[in-house]
Amino acid sequence: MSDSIWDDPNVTAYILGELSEDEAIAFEKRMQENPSLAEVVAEARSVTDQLQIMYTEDADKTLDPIRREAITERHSEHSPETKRGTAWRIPLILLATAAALLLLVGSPYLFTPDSTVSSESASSPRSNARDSGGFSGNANTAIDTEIASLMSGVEQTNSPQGDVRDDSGVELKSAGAMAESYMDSEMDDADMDDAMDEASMDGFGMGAAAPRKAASKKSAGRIPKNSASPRKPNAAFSGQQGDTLPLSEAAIAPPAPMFKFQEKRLRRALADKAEMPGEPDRLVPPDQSSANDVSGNRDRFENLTENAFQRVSDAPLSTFSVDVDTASYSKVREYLLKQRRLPPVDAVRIEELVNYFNYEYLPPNDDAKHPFAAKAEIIDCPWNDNHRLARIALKGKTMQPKNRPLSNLVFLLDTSGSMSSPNKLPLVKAGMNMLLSQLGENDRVAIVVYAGSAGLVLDSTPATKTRKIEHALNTLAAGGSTNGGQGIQLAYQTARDNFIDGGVNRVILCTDGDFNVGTTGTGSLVRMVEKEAAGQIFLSVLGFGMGNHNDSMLEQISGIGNGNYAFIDSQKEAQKVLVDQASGTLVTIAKDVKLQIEFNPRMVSAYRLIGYENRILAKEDFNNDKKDAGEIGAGHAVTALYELIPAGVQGTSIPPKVDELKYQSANKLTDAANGDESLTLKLRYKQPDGNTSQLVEFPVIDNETTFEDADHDARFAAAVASFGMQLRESEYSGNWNMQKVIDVANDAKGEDMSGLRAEFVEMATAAKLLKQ
Amino acid sequence: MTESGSTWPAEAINALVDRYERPLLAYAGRMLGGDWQGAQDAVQETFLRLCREDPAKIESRVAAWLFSVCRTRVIDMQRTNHSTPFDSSQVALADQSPDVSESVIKAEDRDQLYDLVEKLTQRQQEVLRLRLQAGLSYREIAQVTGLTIGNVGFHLHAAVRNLRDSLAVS
Repeated sequence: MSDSIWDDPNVTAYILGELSEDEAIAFEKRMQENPSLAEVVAEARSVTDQLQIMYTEDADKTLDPIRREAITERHSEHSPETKRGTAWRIPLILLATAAALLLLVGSPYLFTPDSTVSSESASSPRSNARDSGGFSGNANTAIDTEIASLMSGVEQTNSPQGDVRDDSGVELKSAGAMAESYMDSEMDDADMDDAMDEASMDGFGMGAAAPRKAASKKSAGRIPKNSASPRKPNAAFSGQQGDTLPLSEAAIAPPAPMFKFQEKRLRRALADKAEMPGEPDRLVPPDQSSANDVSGNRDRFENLTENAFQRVSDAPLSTFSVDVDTASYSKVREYLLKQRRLPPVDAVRIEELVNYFNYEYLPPNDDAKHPFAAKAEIIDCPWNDNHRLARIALKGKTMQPKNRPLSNLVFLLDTSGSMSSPNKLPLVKAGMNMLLSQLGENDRVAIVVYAGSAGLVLDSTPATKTRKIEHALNTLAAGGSTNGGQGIQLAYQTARDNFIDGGVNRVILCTDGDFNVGTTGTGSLVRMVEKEAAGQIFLSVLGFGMGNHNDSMLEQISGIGNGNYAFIDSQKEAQKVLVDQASGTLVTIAKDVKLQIEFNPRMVSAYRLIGYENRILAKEDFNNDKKDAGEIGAGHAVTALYELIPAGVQGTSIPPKVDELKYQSANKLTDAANGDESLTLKLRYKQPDGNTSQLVEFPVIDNETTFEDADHDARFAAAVASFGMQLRESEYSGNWNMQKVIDVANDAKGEDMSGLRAEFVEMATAAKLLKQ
Repeated sequence: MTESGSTWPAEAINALVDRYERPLLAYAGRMLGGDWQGAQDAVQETFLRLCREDPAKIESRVAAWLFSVCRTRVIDMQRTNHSTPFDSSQVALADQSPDVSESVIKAEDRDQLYDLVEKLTQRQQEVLRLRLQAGLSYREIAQVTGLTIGNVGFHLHAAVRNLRDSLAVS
């Protein structure tokens, strides 16, 4: 019987959305009347879904960088400067500095479209204000959308706490933010003047701190708008600190005095560039990809400066926030195994690599006082003789799916044009279906999309109504530009309307991160996310697709939204995040988890925290309950590694001693220092719905464990950390190479039920080959 | 440059390359039987031609335009490789040369599906790819392949049906 039904090509046309509206309605009516037809449609859909994913994974090749460059260059020959239309809406004064830079260069054509210069700015903890201090000289290509995409996610100047406000409560935006809203092209003249004033101050400012200063002195130091230098709409301002923005030779050549350049990075980019012609194929050196990435990859990563060794005598306390994100690992995997090239160094966040794995840490007992177990041990540091390696391990209490509180989930799906690549939206749908399979009849799901306009595609619906949900999913199509601002408001509204007391109330943002925040501006977005998190609606971010990924903003808002941030690059990863670890992804068991370690100077002379660069907190923040920090989900494990230099060991890594203070005397050792404790671990956390933190504290003693005697989790974590350091070309990676990582990881694989550790060995092998 | 003098903004070109390079490379690579360098040539050529084209003329149908040009280019390349002209529907689709990234990702299901797809007719494989990888509409596929729209629907449905039957058997 179903055979004859199968004769109807409309089945496939319906699934693929090729029927006209009337035809589709008629077809759905037939489906209702004829269950066999509905069955056939379901079977056919399962085939097309599988095909979609297969083809998505199959389409993983991009043009060689050199070819891509050839296209861009050819294109520029066809579009002379004079041909620029009137649609170029770029805040002109913003561009003055870049224009000046161009004059120095001599020819604007020396810039490739992606060529940009990022200025150096001090790496600041996430919680500090991030000052925008990057400039991008973007030659013949600067048009609205390009800039908008460069700018999206720019405004991180305002701290999450929103402390950059003036008394009237008016939000002071950074130059970057103003530029961004101007890009949105609906500003009136007055706003424009402000934008220009701020921008010009910023442009002429010195270094990283300028924009914020400019913003806070807004009315004090206006620069008349016509005092600006020649207006030439051929460069863009990109104020994102920490863009691993592409650099080009040309952009490097004329360092105008007002810019501070990252010399090392630039030199390396130059050297790589010089080597380029010899190896036109896939082996692209890491900074090549960020420096001159002509394959269209505009992923943006925050610039991380590695933690250095600290003298215990100068800085006895080390404070940071936990981080259970794993996005960096999937990104690195995508680079190594799919694109076959080394990731840009700033894509590598070592703590996220280490925390990707499931270690056999024992969870707390059911009746334990705290929702997680903490443990620390000190072993030999394998890559530096004489050094020690401290491993701090937290394990959140586990939760059986049946014990999981009811969930009220609102998916906020990005259906903008950039999501149309087959490796994005279909994977989003597949991932959602996986998560839905984990939910029960009392869990609720809603879907909000945002693109040109935001809309509620599916109002809150019991999770078991799979057909209704699937229907909504299948009507999704990518198109239009992103207006995430409205979308996220609608998503929060929907979550609030269906709030479940004591349940999991969460907005799950699925995006490639090309998040045009529209009228809201990133600053207010961050504040909205923060406010909603305070109201018990948390935000998680699932990143999809490569090439347009605003990594640093997604990491930031998921952190503030008390959620986690995962990057879904394949069905397998979707399975891990949304099925295997669904409880951890959904249920937060402790929030604002901070660690503070006090080192005993009698035992340890210097220490270095490996990774967590953008999670460092000021020591005062530890006891400040207003200070946001990372969350731990059910079953999540967190690992932090410190490399320690024992007292008495000489090493070049130890920073030189500062002079004794003239007016104060140095710290005296207490009695406790005479014990055998190497360090004391202090930990603060809040219950998910609490506002006051609780303190956990215990000392750690070095039992002289050798690396060989350490358990396989410790050895594996060390291998992953070394892998990350080597990918980051860290000066601290000691005497290990990738082969050593492979050997140790192979040896320390343990049971590896999930195959993730074997996959890590594959990645390290790929990295070894690519590094040769 | 074209007569009218209008050109693509560089951003538009970049966006189009971002959007279509992967499906175009997969499509060309497949038609060329796994010759990935050849596929790179064809796709680069396609985009270079795009730069020379007047945006106003093809903006509304850029996807179909890209795949048509790429397809013609691939067929031309095949012609110069083979001494005799041949019908595009006869283009041999040999195994992909085992690419590094291919050898690493081994999802068994995917491999099985892949094998089943290989057993479909060339036409069916091509329309499937254009639809599900490149995201072209029936109408666009018709423009690229020269089939009628109805025919495209027929081939696609036949492909889905065949796959469903083979999946049910295996």
